[in-house]
Amino acid sequence: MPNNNLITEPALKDIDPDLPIFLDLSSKLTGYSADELEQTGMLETYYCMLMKEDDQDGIRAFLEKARQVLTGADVDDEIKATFIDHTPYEELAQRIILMWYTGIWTTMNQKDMKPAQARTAMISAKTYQEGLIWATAETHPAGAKQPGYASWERKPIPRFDHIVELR
Amino acid sequence: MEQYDFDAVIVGSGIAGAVIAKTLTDAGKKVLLLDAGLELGMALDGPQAFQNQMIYLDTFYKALAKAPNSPYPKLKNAPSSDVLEVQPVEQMDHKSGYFVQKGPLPFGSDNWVGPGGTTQHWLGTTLRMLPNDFQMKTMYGRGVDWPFHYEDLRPYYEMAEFEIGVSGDVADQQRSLPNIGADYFSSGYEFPMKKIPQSYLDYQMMLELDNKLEVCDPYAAGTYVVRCSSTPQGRNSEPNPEYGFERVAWDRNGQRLALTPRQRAGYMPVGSLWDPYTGQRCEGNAACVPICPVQAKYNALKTLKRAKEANPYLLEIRSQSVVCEAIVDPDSRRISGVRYQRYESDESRVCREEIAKGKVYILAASAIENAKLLLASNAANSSDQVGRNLMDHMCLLTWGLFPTQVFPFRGPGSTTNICSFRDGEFRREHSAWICPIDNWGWGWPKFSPGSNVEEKVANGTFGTKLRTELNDDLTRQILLHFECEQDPQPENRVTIDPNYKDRLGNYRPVIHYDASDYVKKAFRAAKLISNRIFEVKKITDRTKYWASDADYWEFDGWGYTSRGAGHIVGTHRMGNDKSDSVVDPDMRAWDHKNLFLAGCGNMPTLGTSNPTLTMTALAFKSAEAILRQLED
Amino acid sequence: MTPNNMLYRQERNPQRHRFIRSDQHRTLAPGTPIFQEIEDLRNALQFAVSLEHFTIPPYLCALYSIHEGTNAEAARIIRTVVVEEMLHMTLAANILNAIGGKPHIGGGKEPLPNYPHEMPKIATSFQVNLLRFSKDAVNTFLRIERPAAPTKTPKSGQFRSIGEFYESVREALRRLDDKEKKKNQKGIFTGTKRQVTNEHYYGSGGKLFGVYNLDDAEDALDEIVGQGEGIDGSIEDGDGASFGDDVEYAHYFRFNEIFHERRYRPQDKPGDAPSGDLLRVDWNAVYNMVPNPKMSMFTDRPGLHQKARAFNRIYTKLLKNLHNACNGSPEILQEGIPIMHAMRIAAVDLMQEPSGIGNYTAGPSFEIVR
Repeated sequence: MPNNNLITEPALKDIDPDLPIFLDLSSKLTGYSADELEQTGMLETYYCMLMKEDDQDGIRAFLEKARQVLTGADVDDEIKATFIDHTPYEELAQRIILMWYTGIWTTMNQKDMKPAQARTAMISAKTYQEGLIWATAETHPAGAKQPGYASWERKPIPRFDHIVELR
Repeated sequence: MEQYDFDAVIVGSGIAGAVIAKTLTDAGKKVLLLDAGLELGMALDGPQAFQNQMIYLDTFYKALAKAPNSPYPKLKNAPSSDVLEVQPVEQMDHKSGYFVQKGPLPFGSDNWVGPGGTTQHWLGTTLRMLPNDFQMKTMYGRGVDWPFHYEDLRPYYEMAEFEIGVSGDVADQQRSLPNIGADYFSSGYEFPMKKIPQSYLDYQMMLELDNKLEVCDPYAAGTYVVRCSSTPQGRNSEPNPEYGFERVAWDRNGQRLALTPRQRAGYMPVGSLWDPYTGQRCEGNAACVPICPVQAKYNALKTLKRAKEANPYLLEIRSQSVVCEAIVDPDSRRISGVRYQRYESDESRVCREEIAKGKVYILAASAIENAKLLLASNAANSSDQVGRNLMDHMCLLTWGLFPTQVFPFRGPGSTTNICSFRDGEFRREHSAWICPIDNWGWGWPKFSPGSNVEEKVANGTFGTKLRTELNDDLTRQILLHFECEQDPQPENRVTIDPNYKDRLGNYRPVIHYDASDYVKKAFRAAKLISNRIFEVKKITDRTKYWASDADYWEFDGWGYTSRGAGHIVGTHRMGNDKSDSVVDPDMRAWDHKNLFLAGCGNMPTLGTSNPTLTMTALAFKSAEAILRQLED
Repeated sequence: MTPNNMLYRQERNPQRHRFIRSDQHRTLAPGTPIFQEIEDLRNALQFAVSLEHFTIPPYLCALYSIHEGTNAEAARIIRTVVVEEMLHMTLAANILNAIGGKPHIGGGKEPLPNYPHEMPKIATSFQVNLLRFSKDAVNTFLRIERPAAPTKTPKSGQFRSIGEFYESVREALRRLDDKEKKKNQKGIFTGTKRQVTNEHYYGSGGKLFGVYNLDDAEDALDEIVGQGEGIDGSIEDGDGASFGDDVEYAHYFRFNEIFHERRYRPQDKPGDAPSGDLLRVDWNAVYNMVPNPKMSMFTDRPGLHQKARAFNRIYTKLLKNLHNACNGSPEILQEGIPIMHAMRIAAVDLMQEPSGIGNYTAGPSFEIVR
């Protein structure tokens, strides 16, 4: 039997208990299942963007609130009431949704006093390609994951089957 | 007899310069080609060419605004314009950006200065002009006539279609194009490759529309039947076994260029620079503008590569060389050299000035750059037409939601167009237009799909509702662009001003630009037709024009926003008479017998086709004249 | 030879590893299984189709597991080999069709492979696994493609090597066609209407052609064997060097370049390890895919299980497309292109998701689902 174990750093989710919370909250906020989010391969990358924010107290409070809501009753209603309806947590929740959908992150870090535009950036070439917006549109990121010659002549093969069920 | 290092010195490495360089070297002439862009970017094969493409792609993936020039280097020593710089004229700060926009309307298009020129970011649509486009004055009392007819250019169109590698369907064109006559294509002619498959979205749009719907024009009598046609493009698809040509050859005895018949039928698609098996077919990357990751789309470096492989010692390409003057000899009135600034690196303005000499000189730097260079050199302008008659396609965009899913954001930018209004009596009153059906949703006017998710999230939509609403919205997005021919106006022009220079001390183009009523009426007519199409197809209209848009105007009580198509032509037009044109029918400057001008600047009118194919045909035509002159 | 064939075969690169083929009647080594009758030959060609098919999932797993943008050269090599294996499969199907058989792809007469699995009918002692790109994986590929004669004694009905199997196929084609020609001008080549040719399959580099007679069939075998394993383990030295820019290497040598992370030099001998320029390989720039993934590994993870099944549905669709193309509808091969692209995307999605088994991520299992 081949020995194929790669460098064995422990998986981030085994040492940081907030990571599964981030995943579950992201699932509720984006409308994609935890599996689908993991299949983008971007979970740790996006979580790290939160960890790089200067306001770590705020981030921790946000994630603690998420833990409470996710383990409580009436999860869907509570998510909306806590993270969407013009609450103090709404702004970060929105940035997280956009990060998953577009691969773009807006940092609130005041370092270097950058102008607003410079605080918003595509995290990497990979986050662009894994942005959920493309699968949502039943297509692929422009310039990547090309579907092949003559594919545009027919209906697309969706990336996530779930979409078909939703129609 | 003066000795020259080169038979020809060519300025610019876009498609015009590349085609002329290849044609001349294939005929045994020694050519120097000067390009302002980076030397690394001029890699024509191997690992460096692959590396360049990977860098461009990486830059593109990370760009927030996926504008046409977004993947490519922004050089300070060889600046390019950028559509992102376009704003209403009152708001523009002339200190930044490249074009100096004097208005009243900002010129809304950009091009790219660098190896391969604008063919790096072009969409790839390759339409021929229509016969009446060449005779606007005679037929419709508008604009000017070309100094020759469509039939004179037809053999060169065939050469251009060979060089670029065009995929299309002749029968489809013959059936749909208005007023073309029986000889639009020569007998038995086929394109090198079969048409690029039309999109699922196209087929949904064409139902009950193509050859069925009749529409009216408020400025012209009668009704018009809407006709759709597959769009020929310079993008690899299935080779056509019936295609009959092998190469463009110089016939020294006959002193003419001609296509050589193919020994065996069939055509081999030309793949990427770094690997011939990559890019043999379009793979549906849907990013043609600004970059084709596999290079299934033609770019001018493919021509330069073939030229260099065929005649490595006849073609010298010199990069990082910004031409700043065509030197006019005061006595002979001939061009005695081109002065250029050779920079070591774009990090600094330090450069070496050199002069290149040849028997003939060809400026192929693009319409605006050619004009700028001539003005800076005080050359070729006894007609006072240099820089004037700047034209573009002014585009009226309309968009909405189709009743059922059509799955945009797939395939090449456009695979079908509405061609009924490319010619007709209405041209006495207003511009002709062509309407490509866009495959990429509302990307152009609204930066979809990104903007859609931003809007919904800002409105408090989240979770499953966000996902389903976006899915419903994005999969039904339809966009039409009515690309209207601009009429030549002398006051639409490129000038220079010593107050506006770039880092190397070269002039920045100063642009004066406006839209005439001829175009504005076309906008009105097109919008009404768009409304009718939307009504019949049950498309929910979502079009909005804002007074704050850069190219916004009001006409007859309605507001419209125009967008530039990137089809920049007219700035050094051809003619029969040296008093009102810059070059003769061979594209030789009237004022300087050893100076030829190449590119879209030569075109006296624009018609409704993307100008690249036409200017490539013109490049072959003038290459033929250059060879005759060299061998005289 | 039809004109169509002539055109495309002239354009093929003539400088390839040419394994020794004699135009005279070669005798098979004693003990080599023989395909006695036409039905045996048809079964043998069906086996050839299945054999080529069998190699594709392991190659694809390795290819898909390479992080996008890394290991460009290794990825290119593996991708070209996959394309060529699909070409072999189609050529074998063309021969089978030509002699009046009906190819089965993905079901029916084709046994469904279950990895890990030994190479069927070949006397080998190694298992073929579905592995991420790794030295282990490449080592397996080398053993699959090995031109060197193995030392293991084959059991009854087994062949010493793939090359020997095809040699027996060739012998049977010649013998049976010759016999049939005494009665019927076409010989055994009666089913030439269902051929898949170059116009249906782009990217084959002009190497796909229809089979209409014995010469075509032999050329098809040359194509299959010439790119793969040799008959008796040697490479024709002839005029050209064994290696170099103008030579197209057999699969074994291409994999060997990856394994040793070096290119061959023209002066290298086939028995040597390559001694030329470095070929950069980053063995760590891969997804940590669980070896030999199975849908049944993920039954406690419904979302993951659904995705694993979704991949297999796409794979099954591809096999159906290939099957139909080889059974009278070659024009639909074009529809296979988007399916192959979708397969890649689904496979990478699986390889990006943790499997719940140690540190491994999930992966495509290439199981046929109905």
